[in-house]
Amino acid sequence: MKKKKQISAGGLDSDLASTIHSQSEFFDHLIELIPSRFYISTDDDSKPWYQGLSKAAKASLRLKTKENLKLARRNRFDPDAEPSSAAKLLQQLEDGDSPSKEIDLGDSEKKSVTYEELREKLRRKIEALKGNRGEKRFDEKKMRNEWNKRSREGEGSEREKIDNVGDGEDNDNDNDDDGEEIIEYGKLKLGDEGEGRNSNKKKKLSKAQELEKAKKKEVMRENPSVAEKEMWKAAVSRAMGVKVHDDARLIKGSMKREKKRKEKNAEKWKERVGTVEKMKEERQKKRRDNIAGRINDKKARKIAKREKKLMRPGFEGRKEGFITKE
Amino acid sequence: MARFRKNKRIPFVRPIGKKLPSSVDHVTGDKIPKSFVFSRGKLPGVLRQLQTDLRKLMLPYTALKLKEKKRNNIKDFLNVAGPMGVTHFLILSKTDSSPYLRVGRTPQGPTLTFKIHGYSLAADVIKAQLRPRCHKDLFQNPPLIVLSGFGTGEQHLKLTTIMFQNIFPAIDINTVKLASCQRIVLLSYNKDTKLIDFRHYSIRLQPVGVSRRVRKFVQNRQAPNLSGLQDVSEFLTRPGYGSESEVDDEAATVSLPTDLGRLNRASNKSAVKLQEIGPRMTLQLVRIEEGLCSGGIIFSEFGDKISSKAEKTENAGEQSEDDEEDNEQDDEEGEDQDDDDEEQDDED
Repeated sequence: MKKKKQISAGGLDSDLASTIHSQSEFFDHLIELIPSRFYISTDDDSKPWYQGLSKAAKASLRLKTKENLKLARRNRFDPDAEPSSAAKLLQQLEDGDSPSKEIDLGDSEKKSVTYEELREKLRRKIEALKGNRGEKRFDEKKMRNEWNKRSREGEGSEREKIDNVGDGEDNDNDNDDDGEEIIEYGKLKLGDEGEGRNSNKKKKLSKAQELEKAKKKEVMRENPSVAEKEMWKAAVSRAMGVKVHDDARLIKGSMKREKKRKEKNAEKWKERVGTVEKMKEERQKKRRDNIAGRINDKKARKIAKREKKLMRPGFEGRKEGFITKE
Repeated sequence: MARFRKNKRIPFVRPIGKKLPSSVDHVTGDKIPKSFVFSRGKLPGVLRQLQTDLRKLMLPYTALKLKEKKRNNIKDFLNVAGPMGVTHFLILSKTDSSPYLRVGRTPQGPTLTFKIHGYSLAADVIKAQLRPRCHKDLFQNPPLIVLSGFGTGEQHLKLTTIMFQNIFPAIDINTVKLASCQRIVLLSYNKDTKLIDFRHYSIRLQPVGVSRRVRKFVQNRQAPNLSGLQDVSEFLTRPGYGSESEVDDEAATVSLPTDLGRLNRASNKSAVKLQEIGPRMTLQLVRIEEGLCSGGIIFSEFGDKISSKAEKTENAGEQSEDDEEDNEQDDEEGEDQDDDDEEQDDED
């Protein structure tokens, strides 16, 4: 019985211990979820009030924050450094900044030793990314670039390469190999171009203004480098379908043609107006003639009617006068 | 008796239902780029065949039966091109060393001159295939274009991409129908050899994950022979070996937004299969001129030792190419002999 009691007591103890342990783990996990800045206070009085500083001081502060960010980023992505935890942060704050620098110098030696490990990690990451192919190729491209660079340079200079990978992920990797990877497609018409069109309406310049522009371009073309840039720009926009009015001769020709067209149109207009007038005159004349004719007809009819009475046979008409002249 | 002659002149009536490709895209409102493919000078039969292949490639926005005479100049073509809305010219020509292809933008646009290092005709490509497929609506829609390797940022490559992107009409992603994207032109630039590979494929979609028997059955709609089987389930679930090309990686499959035919249903995975049709060419960009086969030379692969009179006259398209071949030989022979050869060129 005693044994049983002991065992049960021992069992109870172990149960209790395990439950306590699991609960404490759970609480630790919860606490780890809280970002450390909420319970580790940074001494704010060391940082000056930003808005009250001068321009130069503000600029230098900004540079400092940038550098801090860079450093933090490097430390975050450093595969050899231990992942920082809240406890470590606390310790750092108590000790000050100097310890971290010493650790950095120590780490750089470690990097060369763990080159193989880095390689392995890279390979694993490439495999992982290959699994998600089609979603985001960008990282894989960068990885491949880094891998190529490392395998090409060799062991001697890998330290610098590793530093480069840490810092300048953007600047140097995009130049060499990406020419093979970039794929361009035909023109796509996206739906959101209509909104910008109202503001982008360019006024069409008159031909005289175009001529001025072309002449200025001629003058600018004396300078060879500017001339070359202008030629490329013009060629590219012409290839895209935009009409580039470069040549002063052609503009002058088109101006002349436009003038001739205008003159011809003016001629035609005058002719039309003339014809209209003429027709009008003709019609009015005809009308007047007809009206006058009618009146004359009426008068003639009246006279004829009057004379009809005197048209007796053997009688010649109204007495005109004596036969013999007086 | 006199032969009966049809004295009636029947006016040409276009059959109803046949749509002409218009100049302005109904959907986007932009001008559709059209092209003329023709040749300058006398070409051997093989190159004439290449010319017809190129014309077929540029369908439907090109003149399939364009006839040219020996006395036509580029000016004549330009005069016709204006009112018809033709924007690009593709000109084939040949010199002693190799054929050349010039791609130019009509009103006064830049001209890119390519030297054709090698080519294969469409007929040869199709003869080499085991199962050539050409479906009747294949040339009713313009092809898509994909350019790879041109992104190095050099000016002449950028201009080349822009030229080729603007030869084919733009695709409105909101209104495009999947069934109208049936062809694709691929241009890939090799930085080391500076050669551009030109390929032309037809696109086919095949559903993935469907067994071959079921797929053939749905495609052909022919009743299968079930005589040796006990049950329909045997027909459907018989584990046949999948085709070798079924082991595609995930990159070649897409999930379609709409249905396409009976087989490919929306939001199911389909594999994109390309089959080569059309000519195959290996091009090298040799010159870029500012005007349409005229004007100043913006870029030249082999140096600008071209005599000036070569640019002004029309027939001298070939002469300038002859000069270029001399220049190429100069480059190959070495730097020392350049002066002597230069003098010889001037005498020409």
